[in-house]
Amino acid sequence: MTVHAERLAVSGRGALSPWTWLAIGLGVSFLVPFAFTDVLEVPRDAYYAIHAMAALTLLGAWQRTQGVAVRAFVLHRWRWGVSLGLAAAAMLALVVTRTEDATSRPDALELAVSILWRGVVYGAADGMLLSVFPILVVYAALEPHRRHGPGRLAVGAAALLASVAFTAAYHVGYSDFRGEKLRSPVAGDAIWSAPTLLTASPLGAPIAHVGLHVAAVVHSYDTDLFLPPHGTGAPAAELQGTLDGLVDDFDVTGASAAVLTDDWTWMGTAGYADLAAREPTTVDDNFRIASLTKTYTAAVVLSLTEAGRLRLSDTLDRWLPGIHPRASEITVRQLLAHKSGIYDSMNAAVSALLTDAEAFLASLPPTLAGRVRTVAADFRRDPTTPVDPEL
Amino acid sequence: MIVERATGERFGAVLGERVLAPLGPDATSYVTGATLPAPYSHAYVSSNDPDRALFRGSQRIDTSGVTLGIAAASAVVATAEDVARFYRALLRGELLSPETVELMTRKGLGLAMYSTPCGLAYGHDGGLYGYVSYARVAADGSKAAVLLASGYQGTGFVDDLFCARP
Repeated sequence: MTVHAERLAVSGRGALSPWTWLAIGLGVSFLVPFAFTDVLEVPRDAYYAIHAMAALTLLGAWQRTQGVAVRAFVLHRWRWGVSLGLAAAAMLALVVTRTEDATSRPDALELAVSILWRGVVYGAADGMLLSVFPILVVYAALEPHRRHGPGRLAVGAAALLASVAFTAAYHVGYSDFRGEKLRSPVAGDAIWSAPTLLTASPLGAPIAHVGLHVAAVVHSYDTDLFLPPHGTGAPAAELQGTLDGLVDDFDVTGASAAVLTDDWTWMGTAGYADLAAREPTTVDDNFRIASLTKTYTAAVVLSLTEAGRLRLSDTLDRWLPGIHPRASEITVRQLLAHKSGIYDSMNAAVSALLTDAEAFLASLPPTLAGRVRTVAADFRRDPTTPVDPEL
Repeated sequence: MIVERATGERFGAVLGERVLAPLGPDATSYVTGATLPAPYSHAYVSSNDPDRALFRGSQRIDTSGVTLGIAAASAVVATAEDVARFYRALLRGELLSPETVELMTRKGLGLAMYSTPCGLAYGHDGGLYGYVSYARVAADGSKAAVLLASGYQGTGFVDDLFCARP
């Protein structure tokens, strides 16, 4: 009797209609990421606090209008909600590890904090905003229709649709999701919303979403799909200014840059191709690309392995007998895996030394030839370590 | 050298036929000599550069013709656009089978992994006698960013390039 009376009292106070609540929710979903990441560029972890507060406030404000105690609301069919939430969490964790490359991650303490903040807090906030709120608002609005089979199914479909709309609106708030990339979260919504969709428990979807986020933090810390916002850098229009700055501020005499993507292209140059003649660099200018050549070499070698003309397990000895004291131990695979990074003039010199030692040394000034001999001796001792870049 | 023994052809010829030809019209070349194909950017080394060990005491000198030890690890000459097209085609599986590309990324064969502000990238860095080069490509080849320069700066800028939005 009292509960009934309270309900009437609440709805009688000219409360907002469920459709208004959904419209407000959609607005919050889009505006929070748009305003705080895209426009204001709030640092990522600080932004999560704002997002979590917005999600909790929205859900809390609506829940107060329902005339149900918070405890009863949270614990409604909680066993089912938690069980299905855990199952969906496991499934989402599997999706993360299957679809994303493993990336490096921070040390223990930072990782633990990230698991808690980006995984648990941010995951739970996403679950509340993208699933619990839209689904439960729809269920409350259409409660009388949920009593029988067919009506129940239709209401479930409407709730799923609402949740997908929230997920889409929320992700469109992030600049990098405005396009093809929106498909992934929209598809994921069906999995992370299912636990609340099936049980009406407000615990299910947040648990599932926490599973997704924790898996992303642990497996794919540098992901550019999960855990938005992703650093999205400056607009291309600002690149020219930065490139000009390289030439003005640093010891760069000329530079040429290109960005090619599925959707757009940017090219720019700065400085001079020929300082003496004061000829500006153009996009048609050739440069020695130095060690980027190693990727080309690897592509050549691997196309030969695909054609069966060479094997990665072949030793140096097989093709170049006697080239090196350890030629019978060094494989083509090891040669390709050399990652010497930048400033590898001496590395190049060393590989040339292996190619045509005497002619090469004869071409050098005596002091330089001496240095090269020292480096080569080190290299012979352990050919798998790159030459010290400080040399 | 191994490639030359296995194919009986010069490395540059094998590169042209197996990697550059499928990319379409392309000015990329393999140059072990002192003369770069025109138009090209000169490179300069000055006495305060990291390569000073090799060029001790010199003022800024034109090093574009220096050929010390340039071979299969460093002899490609190209424009930034052509290099970006190569990395994109490679990661998109247009040059090698997807399995081979996966082997390259997983085992670091000719590709290194980089953590950029907007996520994971593959690519390589290079530096040689005054030239520096940086390539970053998305794992699915959907975007590639390349910076080629004469000088000793650019690590940060290639991240700006890779993460830029239209």
